[in-house]
Amino acid sequence: MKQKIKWLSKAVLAGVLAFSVACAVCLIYYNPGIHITNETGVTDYRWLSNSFTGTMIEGIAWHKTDRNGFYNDSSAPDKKMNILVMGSSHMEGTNILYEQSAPRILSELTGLTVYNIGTSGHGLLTNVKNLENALSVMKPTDYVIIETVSTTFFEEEIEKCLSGEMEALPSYDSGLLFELQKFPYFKLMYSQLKKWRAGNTSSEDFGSAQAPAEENITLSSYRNLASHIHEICEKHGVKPIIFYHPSLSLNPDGSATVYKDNNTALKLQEVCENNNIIFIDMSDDFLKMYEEEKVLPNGFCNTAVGFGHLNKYGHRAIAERLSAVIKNDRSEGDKKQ
Amino acid sequence: MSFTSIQFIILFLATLAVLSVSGLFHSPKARIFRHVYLLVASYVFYGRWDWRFCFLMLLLTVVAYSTAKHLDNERYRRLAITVGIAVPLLILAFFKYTNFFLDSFSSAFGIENMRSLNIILPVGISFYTFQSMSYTIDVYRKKIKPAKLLDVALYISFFPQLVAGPIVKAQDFLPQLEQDRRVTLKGLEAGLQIFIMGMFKKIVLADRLSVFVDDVFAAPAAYSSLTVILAVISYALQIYFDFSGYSDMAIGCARCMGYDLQRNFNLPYLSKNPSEFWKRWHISLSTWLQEYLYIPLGGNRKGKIRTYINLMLTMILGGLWHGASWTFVIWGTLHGLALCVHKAVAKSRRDKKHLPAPVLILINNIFVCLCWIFFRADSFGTALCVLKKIFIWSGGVQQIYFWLLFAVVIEILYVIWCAVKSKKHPEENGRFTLNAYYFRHDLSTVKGLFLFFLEIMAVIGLAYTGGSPFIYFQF
Repeated sequence: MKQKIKWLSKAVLAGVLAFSVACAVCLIYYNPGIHITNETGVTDYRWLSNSFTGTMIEGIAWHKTDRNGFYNDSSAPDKKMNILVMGSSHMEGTNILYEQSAPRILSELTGLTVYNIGTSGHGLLTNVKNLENALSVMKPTDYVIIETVSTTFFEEEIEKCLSGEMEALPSYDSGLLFELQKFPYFKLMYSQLKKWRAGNTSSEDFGSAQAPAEENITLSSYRNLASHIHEICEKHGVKPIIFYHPSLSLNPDGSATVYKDNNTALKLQEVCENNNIIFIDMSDDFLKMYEEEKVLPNGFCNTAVGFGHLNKYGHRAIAERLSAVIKNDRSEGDKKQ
Repeated sequence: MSFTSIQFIILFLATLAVLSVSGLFHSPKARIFRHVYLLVASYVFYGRWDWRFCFLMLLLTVVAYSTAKHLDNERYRRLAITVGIAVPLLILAFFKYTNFFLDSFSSAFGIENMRSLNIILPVGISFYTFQSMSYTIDVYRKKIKPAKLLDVALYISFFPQLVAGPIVKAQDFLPQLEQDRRVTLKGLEAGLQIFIMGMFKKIVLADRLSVFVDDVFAAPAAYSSLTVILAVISYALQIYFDFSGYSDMAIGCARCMGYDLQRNFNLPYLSKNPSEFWKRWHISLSTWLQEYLYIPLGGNRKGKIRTYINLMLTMILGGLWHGASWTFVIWGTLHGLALCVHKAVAKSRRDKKHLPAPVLILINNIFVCLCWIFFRADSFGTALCVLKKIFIWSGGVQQIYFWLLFAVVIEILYVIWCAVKSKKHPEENGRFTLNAYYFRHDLSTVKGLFLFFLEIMAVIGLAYTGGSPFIYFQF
């Protein structure tokens, strides 16, 4: 019995030591940071301020969040910001260096101040839900740019977004789950478990989340969405820009195909144009980039080719297109005046 | 049910528990109980893939057992050995090669609209048919006596090595069943560590590399020549880690239960020539082919030309064993040619100075990697496209895959560690031979436990969770 207790003590000590080493390694290998509720409502949640984060799982990059808990190289500027960028993890840009991100390049190309509140999990509808708060708090003077990786939105989802019934993304501000987030290895294990379950779940398990029928994608709901965006932006005196960035897939003959739903993309484009929202579809830009430079806008040296988040090439192409659109819009505005 | 599934872990833990408890009893009945339990567990394991193929395995078991029983009788000896070899081969041929032959026949004679049969390939059929033949042939050669039906059934269906090897010879495994093999702490300590090492190779290294390999081989024309070369190297590493990882997991499982399976890989990419490669790669298959095909054909005892023919036949059939496709036949043929050339050259250069070992290893690996292209490509066209990309330098999408660099660094560190160990344990004649070793920490010390836990955490943290089947399951 004594020997067993002695062995157990050794095992516990060894376990604690091994766990400490694993956490230390995870500080650079996988350290997404701790997220807490964003009291201002500009996003559903934000990251802990001034905290070190990093990843080597998808891309290789390390960052420090700013005092607002977002990924910019400084806190909210003392002077007015010209452009507010809202988006998902693609715009958050934690997989690339800050200097390679679209908001940073856009700022350099236009000479305007750009502030990025792109946050993981925040799709177009979530950002529209938070748009009023974002514009009230951040007060951009010229543009609000909203990134989207999808143009397919179902009537029910849009209604929930516009009526304020859409659920906020969860975060854990206190308690055991908050404390556990401080150990990077636990976060890694959780991430692995989530991915493993997603890979091992059959479609039957998604009974309630099965894709609704095409009839649930209606032009009228898209019109309501665009009209809502237009109203809020007009109230705050900023021009909205929505940019859509589909991914590319490679064909056996070496050509590339855009992976997108043309139907819904055209619907969204139509309603945006009718509501004075600049709509940008990056399909042609990405195809041209591939043909000229043989690079894809998504994927990294440690992922499947062309798969996953926007890489530095994707960010650069987006920034260049946005810059051209904004310069053109401003010069047309100057002409009218 | 694969080794990396929750169902397998539950089955394995239950098996260990039952074997441990029954191991407390030292009677022959307890041993029989353990064998029966292992047999049931093996059929449950196999039945999870497809319960219908349990009957197929049962049929092969009955054939092997019945034919072996009649080998003692001089009247039926020839008939029995013929049946004992023909039936497994016919079963293998039907399930694995029917559509291959139909497609080849229709292509050769320009027959259009010839329908293929809807035949499901039973997982692991190539392995357990070879094992059943091994038993029959070993009894025929009087290397072993005919065994009890329970032992024959367990030998053929033993779940650690059932679906992807190592191919265990009857003469190696059946004597273990006659001994009182139990679950011991020492066996568990060794077995678990070997299992974890195998798991690391499979779900961290092999599966990560498969992502890159699959991308490039799906559209080789899109990628730059450098990327295609890196993908070919990645595949060489992927198939090594995948298969040796599975073998290690099988060996580890068996060791936990008290049984010993032979090592299946011994640092094959450090081979200086094709002959050495086949002594280090898939050792159980190459020794099976040597003992049951090459030597009965005459081996090297019937003159030079006959030796080359025997080598070519063995390797072509070895290639075909891997899969019903002409790309596998080409792969086998290339290795056969290489073995013939090596045999001819080695003889003529016996007293001459050799190239330095690193150069020989590099040349051999270049050859092996080029052959792997045919093994991996889903068609001859894809293989040619890959070769064209390698030999005609061209641009395209560039991908320097991080996990390839990681795998290479890990393997280099492992080889250095094996080299140090090999130096401490030279051969009986004092010669240094580089051999592979398993990580074996002393789990009664804090240091040993710390390293063991760190390995487990590395496996969990770095595992590729996208899901990728074992390559050799398709054989």
